[in-house]
Amino acid sequence: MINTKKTRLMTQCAIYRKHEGVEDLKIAGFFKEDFIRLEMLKTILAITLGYLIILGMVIIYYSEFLIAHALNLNYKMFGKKILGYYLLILVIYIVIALSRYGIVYLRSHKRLSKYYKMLGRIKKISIEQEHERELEEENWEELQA
Amino acid sequence: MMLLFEIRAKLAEIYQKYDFVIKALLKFALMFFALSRVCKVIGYSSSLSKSAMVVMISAVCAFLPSSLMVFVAVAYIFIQLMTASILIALTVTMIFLVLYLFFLRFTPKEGITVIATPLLCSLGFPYAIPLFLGIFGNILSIVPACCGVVAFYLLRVVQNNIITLDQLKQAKDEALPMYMNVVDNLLKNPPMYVMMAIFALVIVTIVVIRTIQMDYSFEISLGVGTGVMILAFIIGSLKYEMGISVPGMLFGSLFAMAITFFCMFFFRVLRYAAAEHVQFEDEQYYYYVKAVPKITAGSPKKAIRKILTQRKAEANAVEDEDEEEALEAMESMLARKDRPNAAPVSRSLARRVRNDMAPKRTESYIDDEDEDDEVVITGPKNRDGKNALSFVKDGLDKLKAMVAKKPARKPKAPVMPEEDDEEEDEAYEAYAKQSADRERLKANSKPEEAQGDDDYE
Repeated sequence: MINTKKTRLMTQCAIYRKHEGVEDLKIAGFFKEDFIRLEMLKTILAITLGYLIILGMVIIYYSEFLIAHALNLNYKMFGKKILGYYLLILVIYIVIALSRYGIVYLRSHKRLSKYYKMLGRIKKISIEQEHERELEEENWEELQA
Repeated sequence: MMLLFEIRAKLAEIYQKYDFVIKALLKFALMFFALSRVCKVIGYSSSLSKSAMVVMISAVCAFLPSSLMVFVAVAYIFIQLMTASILIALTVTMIFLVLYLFFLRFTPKEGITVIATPLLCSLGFPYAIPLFLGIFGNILSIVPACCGVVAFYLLRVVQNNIITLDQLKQAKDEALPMYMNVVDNLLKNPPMYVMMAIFALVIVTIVVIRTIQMDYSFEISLGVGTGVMILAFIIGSLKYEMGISVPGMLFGSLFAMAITFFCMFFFRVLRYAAAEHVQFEDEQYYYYVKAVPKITAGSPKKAIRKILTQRKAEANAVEDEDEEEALEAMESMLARKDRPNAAPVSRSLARRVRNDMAPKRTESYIDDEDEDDEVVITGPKNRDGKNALSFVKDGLDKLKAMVAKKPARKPKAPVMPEEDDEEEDEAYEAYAKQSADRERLKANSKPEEAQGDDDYE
């Protein structure tokens, strides 16, 4: 006999595993701090790459001016400005990443805890079913004897 | 209104059946129109601009996730531009890459918005985007919408700066000024910033209002959002050259509002109505499950009441008598609560009373035999097929059932031995004879009292 309650629970679990579960189970492989650190590292890399691309485009844009005034330029000031802007953008993005990925981790944790609760209930039902089956087999043996 | 609900239910049913196909078709259509538009604007590669190629790429994209669709679109633009100018192609690709690294990586599932926004903007109908995203998205939807606006203006700038292939060939020696021109035109473009600001404002307005807990919050937010958008576009077009005619904008905004409202009516069911196909296994079985979400607004059930003709009424007179009896029995049963010493009601009688007093089920068919029958449709019922009073009736029935099930614990009446009728008659005759003799004896012993009584009378 198919246990309808168990089937319902298993279906819910399978739907979860199909959608959010994929990402959530990946996230569950990390502690919260580790997950946020990893995402922050990714963000820093992405921002650095983006910033370098923008810097390259700006340098190409002002290339004529830069070549013309190559000897007279205050490179120290330029360097400070570039670094200052970079750090400013980086700090902003780190704050955003900290809050965003903290929320992401908490939400996935909540969903996962629900999922594990459902798994526990499925296990309980399976044990009950197994027990019933054993009893039936015993009864059958007794009857045969 | 019921007709609309029925249509919605039918559409939801169709969507449940063919959700995979419908999604793929929508993606295909979106990608096809977007790439066709790109071909019109910057179609420098003749082989890529062929309609067969566009259809093929769109068909592939129909089965890809939305984030990959954006990458395919960007790659298509890059190849098209590379045919004309490598520097411009690189510039455009770098701008897209920056957009991805800074913004789009936080919203990877909103790829369709990034593709749909420039498409609708190029068709002169950008009004639907903020309304739609405000209703169905969230605050973060501002990011892909703004990226889409940048993509639209970027392609426009490229189109304005590179007109023909011959000019491009001539301009190869002056690649740097062309690059500078493109960047200048893109960054010093106030209409782009105005458009982004309007999109952000409308999305925030709609999201804030629709999250307030009140009746018709979605509808109100849509109306307010449309109003804000119209005002913002009027102010923006007065201050900057946005290339928008006010009557066209008004009509477009109202039309976009109507479309969004229409989608809201259907989509708020369809969104959750997609059936899920999952498969799993346990120790005993393999399960291939199709989980279909419930749709509450189904087709209405019609309750039909039969008004019988005279012929049937006569036939049912006997039933009425039974009902009267049942009512009497019911009353006596209820009265027994006050008189605990009364004889207990048998279970069969109680069951009969319960059955008789239970609400009759309405017939779900029309009897065609009697032409005189009059059919009255009493209107839709709720999901259980009960009206509000039925709960009261149910409660009363339960109470009656409890009373019937628990008879008062009183000593049973002495069971009299069964006797034959003849014996009974003989006993009665003997009893009558004895009583008559006793009266006669009384009359003989007290004649004066009897006479006195007679006199008095």
